[in-house]
Order: sequence, then structure tokens, then C-alpha cells
Amino acid sequence: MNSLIPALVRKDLQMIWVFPTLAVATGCGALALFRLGGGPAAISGIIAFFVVLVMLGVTPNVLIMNERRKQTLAFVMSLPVSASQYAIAKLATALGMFLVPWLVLVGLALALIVGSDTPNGIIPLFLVLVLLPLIGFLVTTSVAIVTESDTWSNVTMGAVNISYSFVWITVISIPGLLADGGSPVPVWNRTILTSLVIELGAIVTILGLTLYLQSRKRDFV
Amino acid sequence: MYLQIMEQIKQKIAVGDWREGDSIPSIRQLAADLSVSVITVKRAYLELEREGVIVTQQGKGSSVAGGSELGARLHEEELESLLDQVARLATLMGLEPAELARRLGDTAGQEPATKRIRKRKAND
Amino acid sequence: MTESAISMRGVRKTYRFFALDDVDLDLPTGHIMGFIGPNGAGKSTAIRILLGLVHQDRGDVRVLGHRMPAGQVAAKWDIGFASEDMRLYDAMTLGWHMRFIASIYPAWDKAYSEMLLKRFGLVPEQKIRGLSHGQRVKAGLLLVLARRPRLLVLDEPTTGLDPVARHEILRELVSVVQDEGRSVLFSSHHTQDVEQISDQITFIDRGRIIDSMDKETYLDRWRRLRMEVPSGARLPVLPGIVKLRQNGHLAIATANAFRPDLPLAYENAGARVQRVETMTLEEIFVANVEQSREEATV
Repeated sequence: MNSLIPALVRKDLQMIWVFPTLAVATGCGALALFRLGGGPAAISGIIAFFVVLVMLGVTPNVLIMNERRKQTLAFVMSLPVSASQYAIAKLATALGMFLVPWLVLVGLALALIVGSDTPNGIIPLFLVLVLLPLIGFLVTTSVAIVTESDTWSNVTMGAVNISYSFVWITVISIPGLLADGGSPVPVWNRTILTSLVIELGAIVTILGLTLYLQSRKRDFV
Repeated sequence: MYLQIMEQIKQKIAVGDWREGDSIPSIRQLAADLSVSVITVKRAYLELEREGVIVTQQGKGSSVAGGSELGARLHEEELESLLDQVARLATLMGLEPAELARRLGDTAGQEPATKRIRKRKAND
Repeated sequence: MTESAISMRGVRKTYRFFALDDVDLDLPTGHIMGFIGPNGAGKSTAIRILLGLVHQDRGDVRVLGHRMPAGQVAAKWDIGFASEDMRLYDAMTLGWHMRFIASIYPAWDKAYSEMLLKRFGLVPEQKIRGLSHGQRVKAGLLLVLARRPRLLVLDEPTTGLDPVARHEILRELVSVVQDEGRSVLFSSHHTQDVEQISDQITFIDRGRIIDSMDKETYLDRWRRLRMEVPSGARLPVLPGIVKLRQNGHLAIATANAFRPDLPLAYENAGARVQRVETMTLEEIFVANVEQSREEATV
């Protein structure tokens, strides 16, 4: 018997494709602002760009929590899926909804950096920074899937959003990360590489933990 | 509820819609037609078979039992049952058997419609 | 001889304020079981355990031969589930839902689904949010019926429907078991519906199964005896009688284990039996629940 996961993902995407499309459009606007505008406009553009990435992380949670709130969860669980498969499908949808726009925007941004007079040395730092919304997104999505609770979901979302400012400021103040920012060539120093490894490790851990906790569930609907 | 089904079947046989030897619908078929549970129909068929109204053959389904008097017999049973009820009611009312017989004769000899008109005229 | 469609043995599930206790249930293949009980009795919980949506704390559950909850994915290929609190996607049309289900289940019968659309008076182009309650219920049932699953598990399928719609649903449910390999379990408040189409009846109250047996046998066990007691003496409560109400010279005895010699026994005790009446499932339901609650408090 085929797994239902592709069908579930397709179903979700059919219903909410507007959001990621809008996010990409807005992100492009932010990049344009950065490229074409002078000093303050450029900075607004950078800020807007990261805000878009953060907002991208919010919409999938709305989807997940809606399924429980609107009681369509029973309908989905009456199909031949297990709790784990459901979580995988939801994670896949959420990731798709986040990753695709994220990759597009990050790709465009990188192209912009390389193609313009901005020093390429900024690239490693840039990568470290853009991975943060991805991690924040995974945390909130996983909490939504596993706890199925509006309260927990909202609290986590709020906490993550607030923490962005702190984390970014902290990250930017680490000397190792900024050191080679001005160089014309990307430099992958130890600090950068360690940061990247930590971030990727966090991503894998969160995914694994979500799937594990979901498979242990005993009461579904 | 199974009694109602039995009645319906007996009626069909009594009026001649189903003659002896005719096969009657399978239990599941009838259940579906009437939107009732299979077990109710099964019970009805069982009772009918016990009364000798139908016969069931393994693998062949059920059919109306033989005996050309079946229709007449069912009518006979119904008549007996009604007479019984009338007699009991008459006793309750304190009606003498002779009086009851007279009333019965009158009623039997008349059209029901005529009787109703007579009553209405009497009440005016 | 085919295995039972559903088999529950010693199932227990404890929540903070409620517990399902020692539930035994058996639905033979090809039969319809009506599941009755007051609100909060545990019908929905038991049904969800059958679907693997809730894991029992103890006990053995087999549905279509699969152990639940472990085999829930395999089992759900052959089970059609619809419940009163289940919702479809508001923003999508009925047609979208039909195509979605059809894309998943190979057994989707398009011709049958179209017939049901006509019979239920539903329009596929209509969005779910535009449907009335009754239409939503019918839509949910359509999605489940057109797949022709081997087992239908329905939680309150006729609640909130007008009499015509109820009649249509009941007709479809009985037609399901025309195929002897298919079975139906449904819970309902409408005792007339249960009485009409069930082969088996299961009564549940406060988390325990009170009765579970074939309907005709069950109805045969219950009688109401209306009696006159000329002497005014108190009548005894004979074995098989579950409730005796006497007011002066009139008495009503409710029997849940009726025997043909019971009226005679009462005549010997000095009563004159006016009538021996059968009871509707509704009356039995009320009497049954009253009795089991009394027993619990004793």
C-alpha cells in the first residue's frame, strides 16, 4: 500500500500556496531596496529581508494549529495514516513551504552579493544568520505538531520571535564571525565553521526529537 | 417488528400476489428493500416456516409453502382472531350471544357505506 | 466461518474523570451493530479506540483481523469512519473532497458516488462552509459510503438530520450489508433507528457494557406486565422482574428476563394480568440504564 504522505502534502500545498508566494515577492522587494537604494534604504532592505524570513516561519504553524482547531484532524486521521506519518507529512509541507522560498531568497541574495560590490567575505556570516530563522521555524513547527496545543504554540512562537533580536546581536558580536567580513573572498574560519555545525546539528536534533515524540503518542483525537 | 413483516408476507399470500411455489426474496434482499435488520427478517422467516407458511431450502432460498388451502387458511386464521376479539368485547359490554349474532347478520348483509349513512342519519 | 469484523476484549482506558472499564464487544462479519448509551457513556471513546485514534491502556482490540492500534494504517484502508464532530475543509468544495478520497482509495465507486449525490441532494461544486448541518453530515457519509469499505464505523450518523434524510441514510446502511463480507457499527441516540436496522445491540453506560446481544433475543426478554391487584396486597418481585411499581390496586412490572410462565406466576400471587406488552427499545434503554445505575449504587 502506498504511503499517504505525498497525498497529504499535496493537499496542504493546494490550500496554502498563497503565503510562500507572497513571501518570495516581498523578499524580492526587500532585496531590490537593498540593491538600488542608498544607505538608509539599503539597511531597511536588509532588515526587511530578514523579517520576511522570520515571517515565513510563522505561517506553517497556523496551518497545523488550524487542523486541530477546526476539527479536520479527525478527518485526516481516519485515512490510512499513523501519527508518525502525519507528522512527517506536516513537517514536509511546512519545510516545503518554508524551504523553497528560503532557498529562493537566499539564492537571490547570494547572487546579489557576488554580483555587486559588496565584499564576498560577508557570505559566511550571512549563511550563519539566515540559518537562524530556519531553526526558529523548526522549533515552533515541532512544538505545534507534538503538543497540538494553541497555548504552547503561541508561547513558543512569541519566545522565538523575541529571541531573534538577542541571538542576532549576540552572534554579530562574536569577533570570529565578523573578522573576515570585509575580505573580498569568503573566509571559512573556525568560528564560522563551528557555528554552522552547531546550527545543522540543532536542525537534525529537532527533527529527530519531533518524530520520536510523535511516534510515542497514545491519544490522538 | 418481525410480526409486522410476517403479516405483510401473509397478506401477500392471502390475496394471491404470491402463490404456492413462488419464491420469495432472500432474507438480505428483503432486509435491504424494507430498510430493516437482517436478523428481524430472519426471525420472521423462521416463524413463518414454523407455521408452515413458507419453506426454506438450503442454497435455494425460500418459497411459499405448498397446500392450495394456504390462502384460505390464512383468511380463516384472521377471521377466527377477529371473531375472538368481537366475542370478548361483547362479553365486556354484556351483550347476549343471540343479540351479537343478530348484529353480525345485519352487518354482514349490508354495504359498509350504507351502514355509515344510516348511522349519520340516525344521529342528525 | 469468517472472523469477527470487530473484537474487543477486556479493554480499559482511564482518563481523569472517566474510565472505560472491562469492555467486551464482538461484531460478526456481515452484521450491523447499534451502539447505544447516554451522553458521556463512552461510545465515542470506544469508537476511537477501534480506529486506533486512542490507545487503550489494557485489553485486546482486533479490527478486520488487525491488532489495534499497531495495525491502524493497514486497517484504515478498509474502514470508513465518520463522526458527528468531524469536520471537512470549509474552504474547499465537496467535489474536491471526493476527488481527494478517490485519489487515495482505489475502491472508490464513481457511479455510486454520483447516485448518492442525487439521492442526498448534494452539489459537488458547493463549498463545505456553505452547507447546512444536515448536508455536512450527508457529505461526510457520502465520502465514506462511496469507497465501499469492509467496515463502516459511524458515530451518530443520523443525529441532526430530518426524518427524510435519516430514512435515506438507514436505507444505505442496510444496503451495505447486502454484501455479507461488509459490516457496520454505528452509535446513535435515535433508538428507533437502532431498533430498525441493527442485528446486534450493545448498551453502554458510564464506561461499562451493560448488554450486548442479538436484537430479537434482546427485545424478547423485555416485557411490561400491566396488572390489577384486587386485594391491594403487595406483589412480590419475582425473578426476571427488574422493576415493580405498585400504586394501590394497579401494578406495572418490568421484566428483563421474561418467561412465558411469568404472568401465571403473578396470577398465582393474586394479581389479574390485564396485558403483557412488548417494549420499544427506547423504553428498554431507559429501564436498563436506571437499573444498572441502581445496582451500581447498592
